[in-house]
Amino acid sequence: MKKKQSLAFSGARMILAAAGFAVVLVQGVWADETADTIMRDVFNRPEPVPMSAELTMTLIDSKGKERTRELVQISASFPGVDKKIMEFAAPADVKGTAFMNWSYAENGKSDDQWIYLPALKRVRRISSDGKGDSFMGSDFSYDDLGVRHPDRDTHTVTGSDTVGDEECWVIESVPKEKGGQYSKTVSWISKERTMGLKREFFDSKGNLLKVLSVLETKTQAGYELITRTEMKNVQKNHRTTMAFGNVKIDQDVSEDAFTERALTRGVK
Amino acid sequence: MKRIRYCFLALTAMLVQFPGLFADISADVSGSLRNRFAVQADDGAVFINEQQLFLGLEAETDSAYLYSALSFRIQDSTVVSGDFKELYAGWYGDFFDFRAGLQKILWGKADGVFITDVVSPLDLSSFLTADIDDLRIGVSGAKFDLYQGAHKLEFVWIPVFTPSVMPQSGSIWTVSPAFPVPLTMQAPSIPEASLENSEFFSRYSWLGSLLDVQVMGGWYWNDTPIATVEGKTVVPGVGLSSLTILPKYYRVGILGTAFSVPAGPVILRAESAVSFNKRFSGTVLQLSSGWKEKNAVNYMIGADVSLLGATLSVQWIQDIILDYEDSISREESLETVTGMVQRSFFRETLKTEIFGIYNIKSGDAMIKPSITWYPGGGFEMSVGAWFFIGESGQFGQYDENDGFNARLAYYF
Repeated sequence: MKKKQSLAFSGARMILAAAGFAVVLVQGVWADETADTIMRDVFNRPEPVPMSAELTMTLIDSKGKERTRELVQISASFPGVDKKIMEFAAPADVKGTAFMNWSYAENGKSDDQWIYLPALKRVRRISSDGKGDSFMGSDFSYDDLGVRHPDRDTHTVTGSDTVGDEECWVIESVPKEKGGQYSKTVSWISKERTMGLKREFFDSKGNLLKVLSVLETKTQAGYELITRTEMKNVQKNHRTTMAFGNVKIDQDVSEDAFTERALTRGVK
Repeated sequence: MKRIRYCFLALTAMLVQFPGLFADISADVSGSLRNRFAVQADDGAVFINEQQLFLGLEAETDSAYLYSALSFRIQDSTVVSGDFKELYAGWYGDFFDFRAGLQKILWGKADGVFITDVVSPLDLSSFLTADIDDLRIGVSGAKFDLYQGAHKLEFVWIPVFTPSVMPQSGSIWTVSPAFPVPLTMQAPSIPEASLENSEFFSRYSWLGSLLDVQVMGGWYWNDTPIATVEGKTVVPGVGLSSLTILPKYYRVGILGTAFSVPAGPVILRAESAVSFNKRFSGTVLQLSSGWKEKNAVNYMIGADVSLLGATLSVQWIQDIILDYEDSISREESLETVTGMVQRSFFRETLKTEIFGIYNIKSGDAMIKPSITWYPGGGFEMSVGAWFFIGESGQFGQYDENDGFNARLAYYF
């Protein structure tokens, strides 16, 4: 079992990272828990790396019209760096386009990103600075899909609630550094499973912007995986679902699987 | 062309319809149907009205692969061309790839200019207004790549020379060379396929967190011929009265490098090359051959940045003739700047782009704006334009060719 580090399983990772905040404690069985501890426990929850999966991303507009994008991805964690390649399988006009991302544990070090466009037959380094930008037109931003260390926010337990039948802590997280994409987030953390089940994102004016929900989880090889999530933009009334399938975990993946060769040849 | 079609269809049928014959092979057919339409801005004359069917077939095992890309162009219900854009087979090893056949090989870091990107020639039949994947031509040869981690070493051998395609006679993109006397233009002779006439390229590249770097070299035929004086008549007291010109392909050596490096929110790119024995047209009365052989340096410095949801790219390019002589027609140094802004809207269903390239010395430019809509289902619709500014120079010479275009594509 490895400590989770990668961006693999983006949606799941996002939820887990989202849950990684807070301070105050509340009543109940876990009354002695602090929000910081809860969020750190969520952040450190075991997650399988390396892994590969097929990802189906469905963009649904305010009228219910759907657009689907299918990707295959492989990710692994190496000392100080998480590496991932995502390749489009559909639609046909972007098929073969592939992204490679290297994300560093070192605080403040920006990700390295490359894109391979089959029409250009060249690998191009791209800026990873636009982390607030939409991920492939979806309601997820690049930042939403990344790892956010709990130390970057101040966490407060604001109460308890249920998601489905599960008892959850409700934890508010405020970024320590101003000027980020969100003014705060509120996470629902399962008391039983120590995992995030829902998260609300507030814009710079403090208004609710997006709601992330876990729609499906699955246990595989001893890991609890989030296999379906939905991000809804409540201001624009459109949403995106992400579903993971054909998940393969703990494969023997070397660092050579994350090179220019792999990017141009495609995820195998 | 029929033979090509039958071969392709037979191969496709075998791989797709009878997978049992090739149990370990995974096969995939993809392609597109594109309609292009363009009119000239000044008189509304239609100068592009064509459909293109593109069929790609990929077949792959764990260690070998085959790729073919077939393109049919249809104008006025008639197939005007049908040819393979690429057709190659390859072999994957643990530390190498080997590929042989007709293939496009694109190198370098620059956009819209070709400094170290000299392996695959250009199709300039519609100047630089063609779709990006139609602008390059495949070369017939073999490519051997060696890998060690993030290090890559490539060797390219091309026994059959393929020149760039120039605009056909009568095309609005054809520019007649200006000579002051009656001219006899002979047909260019293509170097024969032979070991001696082979082209050779090699490139080392490394991709890492700090930077991506490439170093390349090549010994090749210049893809465009140089006008060479084969005969001239000089009348005493009158001067030059006639010329016979033979466009000749010639050998060039090149050494080049390219890199890209992240600098905060900016990606810096650079590319440079020294070309050896490059030929430049000159004054016919001073140069018996009509050209002078010189070394030249060409470099690009560029930057990409994301700003307010848009992607901006700028490039500075300089092309310098070393040991310059006044008998050369071209100026010693040419400076060019390019700029591109792209932005997507409505969840990436609408993309806007504007690309501009400006030659500083001659003051001419080309500007290409476009809007593309992706409604889904594999469809893509775009409208755009190209404007040529100036009266002479690489772009100014097409001042009359400003145009508007529309494109509908379906990908499958």
